[in-house]
Amino acid sequence: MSAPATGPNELMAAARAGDRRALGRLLTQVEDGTAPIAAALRDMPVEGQRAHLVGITGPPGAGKSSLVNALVAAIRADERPVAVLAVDPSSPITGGAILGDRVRMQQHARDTGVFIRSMASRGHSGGLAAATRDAATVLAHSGFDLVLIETVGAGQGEVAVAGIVDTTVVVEAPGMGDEIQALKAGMMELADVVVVSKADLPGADQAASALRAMLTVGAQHDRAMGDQPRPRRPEVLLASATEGTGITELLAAIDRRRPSAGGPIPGAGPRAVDTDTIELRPLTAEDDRVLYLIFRTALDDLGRRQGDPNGWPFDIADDAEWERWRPMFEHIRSTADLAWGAESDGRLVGYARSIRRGDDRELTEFFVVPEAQGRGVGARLLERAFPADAQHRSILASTDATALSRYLRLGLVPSATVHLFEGPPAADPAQLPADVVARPLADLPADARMDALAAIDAEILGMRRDVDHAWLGGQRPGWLLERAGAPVGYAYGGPRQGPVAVLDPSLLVGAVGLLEAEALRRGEERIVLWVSLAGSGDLVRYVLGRGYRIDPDPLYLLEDPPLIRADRYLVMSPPFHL
Amino acid sequence: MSDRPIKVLIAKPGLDGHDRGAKVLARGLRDEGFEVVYTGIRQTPEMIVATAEQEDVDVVGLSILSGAHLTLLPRVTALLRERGMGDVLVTAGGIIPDADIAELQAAGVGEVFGPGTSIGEVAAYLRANVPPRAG
Repeated sequence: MSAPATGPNELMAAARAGDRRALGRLLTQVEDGTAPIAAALRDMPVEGQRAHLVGITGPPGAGKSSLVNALVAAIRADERPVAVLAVDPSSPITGGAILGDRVRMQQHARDTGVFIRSMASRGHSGGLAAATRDAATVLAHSGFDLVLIETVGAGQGEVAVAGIVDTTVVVEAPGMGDEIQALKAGMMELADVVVVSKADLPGADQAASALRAMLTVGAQHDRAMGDQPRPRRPEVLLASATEGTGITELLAAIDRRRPSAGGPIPGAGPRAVDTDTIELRPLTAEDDRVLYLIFRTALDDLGRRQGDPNGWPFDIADDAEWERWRPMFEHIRSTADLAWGAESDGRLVGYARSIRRGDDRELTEFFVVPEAQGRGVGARLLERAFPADAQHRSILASTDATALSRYLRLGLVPSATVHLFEGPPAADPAQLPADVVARPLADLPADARMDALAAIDAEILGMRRDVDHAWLGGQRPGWLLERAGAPVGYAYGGPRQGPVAVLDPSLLVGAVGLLEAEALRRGEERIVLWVSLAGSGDLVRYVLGRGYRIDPDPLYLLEDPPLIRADRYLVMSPPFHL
Repeated sequence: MSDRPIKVLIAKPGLDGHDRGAKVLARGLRDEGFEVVYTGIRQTPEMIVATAEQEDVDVVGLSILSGAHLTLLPRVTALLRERGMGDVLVTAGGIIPDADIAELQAAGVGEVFGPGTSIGEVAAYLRANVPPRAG
């Protein structure tokens, strides 16, 4: 028996990887509300790839558990993994509880694609355990396609589940509610789907008709109300768990309400951000992964705002993807001069970092989660992390209008518009002129290498950046270009291309050819170049002539004052120009 | 974490369908302040262990009247150990001859409660023997 992990972060990682024992233990910590789990939950991402959260509620005896059981079977017929969170009442006197919902779900007990967890309400009203929301958040990020939350048989008014799920299903049994009942506000108003269960029993059709009639009255009322806020109008369906009718239709109705990928968890996030309570604090190494999540969340949001309906989604549980980004985050952290985070209620909602290189200060990152944007958080972060204390300031910025207007107000101006070009490395890459020699940087003694690179950077960028070259040298293959023994440029290749700097702009195409040849040797299928459109006409024509794709969303190189000679320079991949 | 209720899985392994005793115990333990997961009859050891894992229980209480206890109960304790849940307290009740108790306990079963045991005795035993939670 291996020693089991017990810390919430370890358990979360194991649960995401499919370890059901870890998930079980994690949910116990959530139920107990331990301090470490509370902290871990605060740091959980508010967006990202996650399950569709569905609440199933209704009066006692309406048939919720049987319906959930039938739904699970239908979901498993599509081979989709599903979790069920079943909440049962605790005795108000002894605190004990009987958690009996599993009795109706025994057919799934050995199916590894089904995870069922019972929770006692532990004295909480509203049909929900205090910890239900947090448990739902954990389950939402544990690899399930759907999470069904079955609540304590609730009466009207006990509708808390609607606040923490994407889709609310209210189950009604025939003969349990008459028209007057249906007219009462409460559960019905919050329902997305109303199911009349036990459709095999007499009276089911009448119950459905009564509900539909009630909703028609509601629709007429809506029209009379004009533009005033109005309740949603749910869909009414009939289903029988015993006969298996209407279950496919119910699942289809639920699936139609699936939130777009990367949408926030209702209730859990976006949690309301109270800007009055936002505090700035210096960042630490512990924040790396959270910063990465804020970064990806903000990028996803930017994608959406740039008209991509799917945003730029990412999977927060994808550890391999994080490992690819991690060296850069570590490098930025270890070289940052100023690094500030904005915290609301103990949770980071934004951050900004800058690096100091000689007389230059570069803003390497500046991200605020969507729900905290537009409330002055960004201005406070920039004030701390990007002060006007350097002779030269620079930013490689996306086209986000809000951020751009901030930078422009700070006095920075665009000195280059950089577009991404990507394509397959050509079989006959361009050659450097015969008098230019490319020497692998690894072959040069460290001091000579740094001096040569610094001399080129001084010319092209106006700054020295030894720490970045030291890091790049450890990560990627690079070449120093020499003409008659004198350094005239450098180029870094590897899994990503750039930075590239050449004293003579006519060498840029040949330097790219060098990277293409290297990518070919390594069997890379595509290379990525960030090219300034202005002044790099030869290179732009070269890559377009070889079938490279141009990405429509550019980056702006912003500076104050403009110094960087973008016609002789290819930036590295964002987030910083390095 | 002494305030948290102890979570008990009451399960009936094997083929007998007599669950009156299990239900009475579930109800009684609830009244003693335990959180009791009840799963119904005809459970295989694999189903019981999967449930224990998902529910993260402190105790697995096995009710068995069919006579298959020497086969089924050691299988449950072995599976629990295999899944890293060797710390879960396993108890048994039902019709189990005294002569078999030593063998069951050697296989990792804790107390074996025979007919006539009061709920209070079971509750007291569980409170005294459930290992404290680390996290």
